[in-house]
Amino acid sequence: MPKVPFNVHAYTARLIGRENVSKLEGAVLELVKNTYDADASVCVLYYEKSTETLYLADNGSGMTEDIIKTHWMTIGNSSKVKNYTTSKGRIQTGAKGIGRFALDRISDFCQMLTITSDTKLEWSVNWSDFNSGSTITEIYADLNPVEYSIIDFFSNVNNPSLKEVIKKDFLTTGTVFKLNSLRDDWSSTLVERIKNNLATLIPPEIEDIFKVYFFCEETEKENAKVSMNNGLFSYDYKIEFKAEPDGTVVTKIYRDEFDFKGQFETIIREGGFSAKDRDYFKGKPIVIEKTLGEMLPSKNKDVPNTIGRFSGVMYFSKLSAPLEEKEKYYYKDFSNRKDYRDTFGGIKLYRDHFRVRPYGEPKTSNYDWLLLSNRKAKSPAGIAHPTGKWRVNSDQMLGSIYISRTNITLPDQANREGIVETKEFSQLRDILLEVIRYFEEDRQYVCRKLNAYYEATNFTAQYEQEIRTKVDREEKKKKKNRGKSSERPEYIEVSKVKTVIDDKDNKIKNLEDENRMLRILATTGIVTNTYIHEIKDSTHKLSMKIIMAKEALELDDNKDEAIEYINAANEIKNSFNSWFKVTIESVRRDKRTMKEVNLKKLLEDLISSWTEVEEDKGVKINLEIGEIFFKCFPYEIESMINNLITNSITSFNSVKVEKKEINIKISPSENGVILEYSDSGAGLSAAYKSNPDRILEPFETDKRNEIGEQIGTGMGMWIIVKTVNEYNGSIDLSQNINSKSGFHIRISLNGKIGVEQEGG
Amino acid sequence: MCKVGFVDDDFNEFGNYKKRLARKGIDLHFVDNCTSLMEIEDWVLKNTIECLLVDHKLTAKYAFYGTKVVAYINNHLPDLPCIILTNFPEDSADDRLVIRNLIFDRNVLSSDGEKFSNFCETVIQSTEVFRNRLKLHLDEYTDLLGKKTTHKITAEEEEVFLHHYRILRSYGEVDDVATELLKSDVNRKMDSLLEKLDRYIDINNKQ
Repeated sequence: MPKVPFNVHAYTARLIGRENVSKLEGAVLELVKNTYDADASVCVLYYEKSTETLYLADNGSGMTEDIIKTHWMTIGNSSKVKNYTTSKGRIQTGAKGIGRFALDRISDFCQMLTITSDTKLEWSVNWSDFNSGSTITEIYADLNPVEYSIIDFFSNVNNPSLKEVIKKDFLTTGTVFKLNSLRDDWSSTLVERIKNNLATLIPPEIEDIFKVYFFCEETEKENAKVSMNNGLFSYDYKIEFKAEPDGTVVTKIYRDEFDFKGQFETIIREGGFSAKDRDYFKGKPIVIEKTLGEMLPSKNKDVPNTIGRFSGVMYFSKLSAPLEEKEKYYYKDFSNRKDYRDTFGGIKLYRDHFRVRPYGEPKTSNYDWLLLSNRKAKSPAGIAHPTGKWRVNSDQMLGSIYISRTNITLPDQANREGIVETKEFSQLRDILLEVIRYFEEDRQYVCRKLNAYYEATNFTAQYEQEIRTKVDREEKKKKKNRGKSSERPEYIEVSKVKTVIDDKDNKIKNLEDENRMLRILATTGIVTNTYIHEIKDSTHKLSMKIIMAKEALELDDNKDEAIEYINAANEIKNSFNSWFKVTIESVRRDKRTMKEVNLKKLLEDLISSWTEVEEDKGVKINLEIGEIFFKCFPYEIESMINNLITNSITSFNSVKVEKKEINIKISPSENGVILEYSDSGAGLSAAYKSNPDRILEPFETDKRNEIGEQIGTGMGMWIIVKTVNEYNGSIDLSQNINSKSGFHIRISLNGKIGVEQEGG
Repeated sequence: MCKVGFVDDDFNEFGNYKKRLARKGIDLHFVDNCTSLMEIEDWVLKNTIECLLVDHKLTAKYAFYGTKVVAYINNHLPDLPCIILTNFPEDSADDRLVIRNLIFDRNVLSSDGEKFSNFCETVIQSTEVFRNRLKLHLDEYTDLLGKKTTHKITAEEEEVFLHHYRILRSYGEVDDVATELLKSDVNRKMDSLLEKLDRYIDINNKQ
């Protein structure tokens, strides 16, 4: 009987490839992995929007004709199965021989130039041929020897920075793919996504030996670099570990969370820390050496290491902490810390320096593959709890675990969707949790000591606790006696109560100061928001003058006209300065000090700034004021006026008003000053007319757009009320009830409550 | 050159816009001396405008926003392309009176290169669409005129006929006669009068 060979339909072969590489990100990663496997030190991706072409180049070893024919062109045959170490000693990452189908996922047409030390070959394929109905052996790719270099290949691209990288790093061998008829719309968002994706896929540790760049037409070299090391990464604890084949696991824990500032020696001494602790706080790692038998509870003390060599780096990085904790535990400042959770968060697994998905994938159920949240839920104790175990939150940990293809007991799943759940994989998880436990214990050890130190040194907290305990006791007694007062009431020394009250007063004062500052900043925000239209308008006009000047020179060769436009642009620039005066000026430091203020001077300056901004729009602001000195925070007075003027101008803009006039009259009163303010705008809307005081409540506004949606913040008038209350004053809006048009308000301000001396 | 109208409450930059757009084949005209929506419509017809650019915030000069102008013009002159040009495209889009694709950031007028060229192409293309639609109106008008002459026109068709006539007359495509004269009853009366006149002439001739 004759032997009949099997054959494969070309389309089926393509389908197998597609099954394995279905996502675009996966396809790009597959190709980048190939470049690493080719011993490249640089891998460049370049998307040229104008030609809708994607280039992928590496300066690796390139492919000979033989490799192309026997490996590259033979589907499922990977040279990496048997020889998985490259000439540079790298462990190759792919082994299934289907990576080239990633090219099919990306584009319809592919051209490849590959240069080895001996040959220069060009290979091209049209993937749509695979749909032709032929069997795989009837599909052909072109393979021709050529004479040009990689630098020549890139000679027509538009990005000069890219050309520089190519000229510098692609002098000898390498491979370049030019992909046309791309299957996806390569928008800037997609490019950014792929870049971020690659950044998480390539661990920072290998950046020295393998650099990846992603260029678009305008990208400079520095911005093209795909990197997680952007210099902003900060952490509280760093945990390094390394497991050796003999079963030894060495863990190094670095404390970087605490900053005792000038009290370092005092806290070490009085906080009960050891001499070793001193070194640990100064950066020396805590080294813990254990065997797997010690780490994995088992009856069998000698647990053999069937996983092999593996290692990892993890970071504990918190994003928030209550003020009290910051003070108690001497946390170093982390206010500038970036939230990495959605990008670089999670504990990720890398095999031979390439990511094994989906472990640690943000925003997925695999983010917390070590089930840290479950541990936390089971043991929710606070960090200083005397007995309970503190557990870290999954979103506070990030890091990389490194395994290799030499870890044969941790095989990839066939669909490349993770690692097969072998006994060893479960062991790996347990070891990681044990390493995390070492860190948790150390952190809890430090915080318990600091908590005890805080309680011992902070009398106020102690006294406050004593008061609370006694109050609780008294309440319980009352309950027991069914509401009757206890025969023996609880007592506490007055001096202790005074200490607590003074402390509370101090905190309230700080909060009041903060509140005041926030009100002023809110006003700045309201003013800026209200005038954003005008500011944008000025920006547009400025741009117009510039483009007109440019065209006058370029197209009309008219220098005089260009100068006219530039002069006009200069005038617009001045109007910006006026804007800054009314917005930013009010938060100047000298205005945040309580002092005897010459109101006439202060308000004349303010109104003059407003006039500069508004007079070309026909708004007239009349100020009537004599020489009045008033003790106040200047920025609070300005904030009130700014809010009122802002409201008036919004009113002028919302309806067609013939006369745009604002009248401000300030007169002295017995205890302070009276401010009478009115405008010729539309006045309060009907909803507020009968009860105008409603407009003083927070979030109340009648600023609405064309279709009636609220656009105002409703904070402006509320800010005025809060300020007036602080000056023991009052607001009268009654004139609005009967007035036919315009807005009217009468504000009286008296001496500031609780002000005895200058402060700020 | 295509003829484009511009509704804004600020005339300051108009000269510059006009100059830039003229280089791209667009003849820009400022809508002046109008206060109501109806007046704007009349101005558009009088000036045979082929596309209308409208600013969003018009309150310094008008009692309404630009989106309302577009909605009104779209209602009365459905084929006339109207584009909102504003510093706040989001505000215009939020009004939900104009399709987002027809709302442009005003900065496009101060932009350079491809962005500016693309905008001009959009405007020019929309005027071409308008001209082609005008031709369709003319074809339909001719059809209906035939029916009308043979007294086969229905009441509904007559409405459509008059609508086409008004638009075509505005754009100089048909002769300017009083709309009243085109109504069927007036037409019938005139035909009957002419018939009588013919008979009278015949009688006179025989005598």
